[in-house]
This record gives sequence, C-alpha cells and structure tokens, in this order.
Amino acid sequence: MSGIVVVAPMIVPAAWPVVVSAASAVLVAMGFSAVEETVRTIAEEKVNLETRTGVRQEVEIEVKNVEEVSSTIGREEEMVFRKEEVEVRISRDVRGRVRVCVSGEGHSKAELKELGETLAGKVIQQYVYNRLIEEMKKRTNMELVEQSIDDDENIHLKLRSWED
Amino acid sequence: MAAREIIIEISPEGVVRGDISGFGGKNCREMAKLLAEIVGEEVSFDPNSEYFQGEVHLGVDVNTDEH
Repeated sequence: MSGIVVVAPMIVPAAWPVVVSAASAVLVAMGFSAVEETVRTIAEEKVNLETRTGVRQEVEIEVKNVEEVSSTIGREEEMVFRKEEVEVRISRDVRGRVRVCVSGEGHSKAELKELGETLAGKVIQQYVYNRLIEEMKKRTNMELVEQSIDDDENIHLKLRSWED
Repeated sequence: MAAREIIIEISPEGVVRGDISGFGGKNCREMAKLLAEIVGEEVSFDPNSEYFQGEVHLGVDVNTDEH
C-alpha cells in the first residue's frame, strides 16, 4: 500500500444538482415519492403549507457538511417527498445552506428527528458516492471494478488502472 | 503492467477512507489530494513504506574541516 487518506464530506454550492440526484435516489429507495415537480421554489411551497389542515409535528435539521458562501448563489430551492403521512422537504437557501425538514401526523418529534437525521446522513453518503463516481471517471483513467454495501451500511468501492 | 488501486469506504455519514496502492510517492499524494478535492476536506493522510518507493533520497555528509 502507498497511503491512506481520510476525507470529511463537504457539499459545495455548485454541486446542488448532485444533492438533488442523491436525495431523490435515497428517498425513492425508502418508499417516498416526489411531490409534483422535483424542484420548486420555497415561496410556492409556503402557499401549499398554509392551505393544509390537521395537527402536524415538524422538525428541521440543518445539514452541517455544507460550504456556506457569503454571497448569494441563486434562488432558494426545495424538493418535496411524501410517504403516507410523512413529508420530507430538502431545501437550499441563497447562501447554500441545506436543511432537511420532516413533518407528519401521528409521529412524535423525536421520531421525526431520528428520521430526518438518518435521511440527512444517507443523502450525504449518496452525494459523496455520486461525486466520486462522476469525478473519478472524468478526471482519472481509473475504472470501477467492484462495489458493495456491508451490514453497517458502509459503501465499498474498488477502482483500478494499469500502469505501463 | 502494474495495477494501481484505490479501495474506498464511504461511511453512512459520508466520511471517505481511501486506501491508495501502486502509485508510489508523489503520485500517491496527488491522488489523495484529488479525493479530498472531490469529497470535501482532508482529515488525515498516512503514507506507508511503498509511498517512498521510487523516490531517491540522497544523504550527503559535508566535512568542512580544513587540514
């Protein structure tokens, strides 16, 4: 072996499309469905919230591994997913901060918080996976030769190239 | 031909551990930097014995005593 590197994930604002793709993959795999448009503005979503009835618990989790920028990076964006009575909104504000908001009827705040934290972790893991596959293909001549997921939900990849 | 390999583990929190082999020296370090650039921020890098293969290290003793 030559060396071992450990890298902490950091979501960069320009990679929002990768977050969208990662979130969709994770939530659909967990049985959620995207609500109407995949991405819509927060202003539109607020109107929808006001028209809703019933008692709903709601928790919001700010994703920590995000590179925040001092200037605005464009409009706020939000993805909405639903599974039975649970709704998940993943949003990005104008400074690039990412939030996961989970709401639902018949669930305690603790349950919703646990679900939100699990989702946030899975989205980051999927984001890292997508980034690695895409960028390593683009920037190196290494090929993905193996991939697997273990019982602890770690993703394992093996990339290989041949030196002349 | 020799194989160059990277074995990557992505934890459920997204932390990446990359085991880089077959590169040697400077190329290994460059690959580690590329992984960090793609994923986020480098937490640590531990080179091992193979890391130093292919690099020439010269040790020179200079005796400045004049007789």
